[in-house]
Amino acid sequence: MNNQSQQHTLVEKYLMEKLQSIILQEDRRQIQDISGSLQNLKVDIDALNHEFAKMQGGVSMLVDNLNNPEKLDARVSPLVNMRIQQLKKNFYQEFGYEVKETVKEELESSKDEFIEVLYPIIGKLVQRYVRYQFDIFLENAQKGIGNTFSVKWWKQIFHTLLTGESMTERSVKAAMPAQVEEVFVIQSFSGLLIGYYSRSNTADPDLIAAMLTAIQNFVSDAFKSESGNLQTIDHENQRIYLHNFYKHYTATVISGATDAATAEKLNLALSDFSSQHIPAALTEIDDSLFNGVSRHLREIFEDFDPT
Amino acid sequence: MRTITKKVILTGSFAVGKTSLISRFVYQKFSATYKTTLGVRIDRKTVELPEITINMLIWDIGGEQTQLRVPETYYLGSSGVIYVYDISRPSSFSQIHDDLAYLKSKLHDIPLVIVGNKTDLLDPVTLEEAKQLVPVNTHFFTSAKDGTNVESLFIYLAKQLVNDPSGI
Ligand SMILES: Nc1nc2c(ncn2[C@@H]2O[C@H](COP(=O)(O)OP(=O)(O)O)[C@@H](O)[C@H]2O)c(=O)[nH]1
Ligand SMILES: [Mg+2]
Repeated sequence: MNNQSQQHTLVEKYLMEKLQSIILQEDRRQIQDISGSLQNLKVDIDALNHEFAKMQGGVSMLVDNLNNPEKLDARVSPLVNMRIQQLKKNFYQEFGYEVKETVKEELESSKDEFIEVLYPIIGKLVQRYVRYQFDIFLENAQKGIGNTFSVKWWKQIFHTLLTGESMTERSVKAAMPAQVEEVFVIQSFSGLLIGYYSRSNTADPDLIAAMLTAIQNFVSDAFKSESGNLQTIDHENQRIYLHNFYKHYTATVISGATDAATAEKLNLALSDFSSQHIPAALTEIDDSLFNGVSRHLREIFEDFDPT
Repeated sequence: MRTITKKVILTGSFAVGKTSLISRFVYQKFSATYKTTLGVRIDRKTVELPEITINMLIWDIGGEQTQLRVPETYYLGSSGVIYVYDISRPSSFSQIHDDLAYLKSKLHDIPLVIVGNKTDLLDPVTLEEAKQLVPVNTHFFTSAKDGTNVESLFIYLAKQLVNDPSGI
């Protein structure tokens, strides 16, 4: 071999080595990369396996739950409840229109049935309620609870009748001799006041007359099939006696201790009064009629002994 | 000056503003939170006309879906009736023919004033459109909220009561 060719060979060899090392390096890197990837892949596969194992557990639990209503309920209920809570909050926005329309249609197409079904129930409730109220009045009267006769008393009685709330203020007082506190002469049906007597001025007597009339109407309607009209309303130590005449009725408020004769004594006095002072044909109630009737009431009842 | 006393019925469907109209007229304020178990609320208001004073006992009937089911005797002895519907809610006047027929059967030949309430809820254009939908003649379009026409309505009725030839 000549020198040149030796050199060449050396160079060649060097290059070869260099090349080899480069190639090998590449290979090594590639191999490293691949094995890195493989390593990652293995990790991934392990993780997947793990997940899958978990999923399998989940699936078998799910299958188990599906076959077991109690377990299913325990799982599903919270979700359903959550959805219901959401619905409750947003129901109106989500379904308000549809529901309104449906209810409206239902109501309109079955209005009569609806009323038929509801009215007896409401009627019964109302009846029970009225009975209950009068029981309360009776009870209070028997306890001998008293109060000075006043505007407050009327306010309470109506408040109690209208709202069902019982009065809070009660003052116990010894029974006093019976005394006529107020007399209302009221046109039947219209409830308009024809005449009025009062020992002490009270709340708006026009309004009281109208409300007493509404109460009478209401009670006789509620008790339609039964006993009929109210005769007395008791409250604290006052008693209202109601007497019906042909076109009017009277409400007489008596304080103190009344007795069994009181109603009849009043009835006689009021019948007399009516035939003398109430016109048979009442077309219009004006102040001159009212003042006349009221003056006569005062004459008779100022010193009237109801017992 | 002579004073006469008259009973007036205020009626119409649920929530059309009957009670609010009375509050506005009697107490000069807008509030509607009063409810009674007897199905009626009674208020009194005196209206002074040049020749005569009218002491009006106003029976606010109904306020329930079943307003025609209050005791029939509530309607008796009245000299005038105000029928209210809600102009902003057409369903409140869909029954108007039936309701008026019922009232006429209970109340013979007494003045009837028909009122479309809650005008404040509609803009002028919609209000005019809504008026076209009402199947009867309306005497007054009111708002219990801003007071529009409330006083006029009751004064008109008071005048009708004076002219009332049937007495009570
Ligand atoms: N915007 C407006 N609301 C009213 C008017 N009148 C009544 N309302 C409202 O309508 C509802 C029913 O009113 P209410 O007087 O109780 O009706 P009623 O059932 O006919 O007695 C309440 O929420 C009132 O505040 C009105 O003129 N304008
Ligand atoms: Mg009302």
